[in-house]
Amino acid sequence: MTGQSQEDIWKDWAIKAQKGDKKAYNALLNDLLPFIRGRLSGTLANPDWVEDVTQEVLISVHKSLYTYASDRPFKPWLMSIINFRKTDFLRKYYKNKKLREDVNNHEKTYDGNVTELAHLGELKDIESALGSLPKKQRKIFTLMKVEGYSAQEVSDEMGMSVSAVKVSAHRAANKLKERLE
Amino acid sequence: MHDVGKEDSTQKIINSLCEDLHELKLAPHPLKMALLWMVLGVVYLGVCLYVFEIRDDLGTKLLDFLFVFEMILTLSMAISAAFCSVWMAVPDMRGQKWMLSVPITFFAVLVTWIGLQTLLASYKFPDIHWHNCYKEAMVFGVIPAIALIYFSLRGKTTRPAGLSVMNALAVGGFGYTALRLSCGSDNIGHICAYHILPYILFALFCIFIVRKIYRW
Repeated sequence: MTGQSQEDIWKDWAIKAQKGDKKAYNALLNDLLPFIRGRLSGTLANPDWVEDVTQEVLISVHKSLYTYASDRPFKPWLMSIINFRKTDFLRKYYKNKKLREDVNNHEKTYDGNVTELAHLGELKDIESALGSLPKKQRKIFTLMKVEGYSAQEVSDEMGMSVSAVKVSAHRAANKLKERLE
Repeated sequence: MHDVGKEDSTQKIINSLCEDLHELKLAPHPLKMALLWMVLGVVYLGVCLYVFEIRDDLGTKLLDFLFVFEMILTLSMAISAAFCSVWMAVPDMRGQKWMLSVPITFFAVLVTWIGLQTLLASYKFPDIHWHNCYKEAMVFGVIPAIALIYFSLRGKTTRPAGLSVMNALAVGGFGYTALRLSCGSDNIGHICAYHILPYILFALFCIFIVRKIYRW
């Protein structure tokens, strides 16, 4: 590897990953992580957003790895995905800003109930938090965590990969946790 | 500072993605897709023109410089937009972003060209009613549109809106050229109402609907 630039190393790992080399893929994704975070932290105000978009970028890299051409440099390919995901995130965020404010205000109105009528309040909070999830994510979360279906069964039902289902359920759980804290 | 919990979840995502990795079937080169689309389009339009019959005065019209100029212009726009469509299906367009300027320039010239004709020629915009040209416009456009959207979906674009516009220019340019070769009317009002309008509607469909299916 001596004399190779970081970009050459990424390119090498990406080509190996395309052939199914999990070790090279793990090294690639872990090596990309600080680069992606660094690129995003300069342009996104909230550190939570940086991590959210970083996760989106990693999933996008996974989904689109087959489009990377080995005769091309890796960084422009990655940068176009980073910029796309960042713009997409901000677009969705500003589109749903009013909704977010409504959800936050709604949560505040139940503060008293949570302490006084614990179970009723919690249930309403959970319903409200579940309702705030994107439709697809809510369905995956409900099927897996409420109705007890396996990731494989949900992936068959939703027409997604098992990994994408797991990631979606995991992210939904994190969002719910954030809302309910 | 990053939230440690979120960093853990990012690590879990990486592990999960690595678990899910298997040998990938690589996306074909955009040039291959573009050529395939063009061959398919030319053969299809050839068959359509054979079925619908070409205009009676085509021999004479091919000696008309302005008609030939218009045909070359629309066909060039369609071909360059098709090339852009398949290149845009790759996240970084393989570094060929300059390509976008080609169909846009052809489109600008075409709009100016048609605009000048509508200003210079005395024409009356006809009442819109069902016309055979609408049927032909749909037939000429449907297969090239499905093929191009399919080819575009085989990649992962980072420019869904731009890609849908390029799809519209490619299919519209191709269909418009075919309509001019099959329909005998050179009246600019007829051309605007029955040759261009269907593709404007198709462009709106692309911009508002097809764009959404390119999101991933």
